[in-house]
Amino acid sequence: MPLQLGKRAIAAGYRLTAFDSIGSTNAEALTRARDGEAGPIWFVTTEQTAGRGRRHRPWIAPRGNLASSILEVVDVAPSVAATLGFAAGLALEAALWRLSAEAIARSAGLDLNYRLKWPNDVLAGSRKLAGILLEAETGPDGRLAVVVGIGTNIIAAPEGTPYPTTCLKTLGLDVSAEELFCALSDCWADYRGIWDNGRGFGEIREKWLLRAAGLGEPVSIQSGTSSVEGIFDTIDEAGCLIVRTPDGKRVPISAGDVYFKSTASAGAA
Amino acid sequence: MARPPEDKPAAKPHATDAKPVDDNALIRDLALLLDETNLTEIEIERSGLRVRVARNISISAAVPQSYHPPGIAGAAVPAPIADISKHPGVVPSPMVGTVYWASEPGAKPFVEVGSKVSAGETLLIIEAMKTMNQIPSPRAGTVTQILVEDGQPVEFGEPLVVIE
Repeated sequence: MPLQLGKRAIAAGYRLTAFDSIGSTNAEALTRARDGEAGPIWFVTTEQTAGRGRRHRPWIAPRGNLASSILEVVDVAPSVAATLGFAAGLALEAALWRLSAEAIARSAGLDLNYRLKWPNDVLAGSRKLAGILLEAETGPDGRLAVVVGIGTNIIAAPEGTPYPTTCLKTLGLDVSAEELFCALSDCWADYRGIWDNGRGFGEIREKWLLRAAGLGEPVSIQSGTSSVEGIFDTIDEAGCLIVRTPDGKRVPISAGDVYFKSTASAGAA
Repeated sequence: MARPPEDKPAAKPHATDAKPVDDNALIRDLALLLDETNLTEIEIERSGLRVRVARNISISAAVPQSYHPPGIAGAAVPAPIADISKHPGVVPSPMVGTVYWASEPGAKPFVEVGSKVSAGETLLIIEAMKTMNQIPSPRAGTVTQILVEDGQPVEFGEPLVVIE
């Protein structure tokens, strides 16, 4: 099966550029946006050789894992575009369940528990299964080119990371990158529709909170040289993580590395 | 001027017998006076000796000398920050987030003071919700001030850089 879009993605007007191998699908999407590509279009490969995460940390993936970046050019403020990442986490989780349901039907012993980690990692149990990184640039017409990069561990997970990782193969899920992408493209079309240029973030937020990892538990967030500790209370209307500190303050966090104390799960993409 | 130079008769040299050490004392006195009065420039001339003491604080010329209530030492520092948002060249933050000077830690910053930028060129990155937003220059010009630290949290509308 080649890399191909799902039926709903095609109906919604999405296009696809697939690569046998490429440095970074996010970098490619941003380059195309600068050249005038207005999307929505996917840039996808099963071998990414120079993948990048938050603050350009390397995202390591062998052939067989899925690197996918969706370019959406939107007429919204950057703060609104930043909430699209929550829709991305939901879309990937939905795609995973679509494929997992069949596998669970075949194998009753399969125990899968997907969770979303603020702002937009996807965990299996407490282990990182996928990372999502958004990059946004304002084009000459004033509209915002938003690239949502989604990297999913399918046949292998990186080792030596400061947080636990896993891949679908280890979870007992025999799914290819091509199958996952096809499902993801459909689920992305669904959640992108719900998000509706930020107007639907309220609904996205509610769905996200139902699947949130570590909600109500002790959390530590490190950003640069500062850190905040307290209880992960909720996320607000802008998508900020709200920490309730020991002195009763509710501190909104917009960026940082999140560490759950109870599960020792951390996560920077 | 807050105080006539005649206040310091000891520093009043004759042109013929002005010694460098006296000149230094005079300059030091004037520099202290500058701080004390919060003026940006003092110039005196006497007996053929002209001394001008000035400091370079970065506020636009249109801003009048602001009055600082007594008891606030070193008031020259907060004053420019309070005024800078009104500077015509200021680029405000379009969002709440964390500022980065470069695409990754340790990399060359996108811009530095003195950098020439064209409209649309990236000045900084602001991260929110793991979204890296490249902040473009709204116009061509020279970066004259960078008002945020690398890794600093910023609010909506907070001044980021000045481009003139």
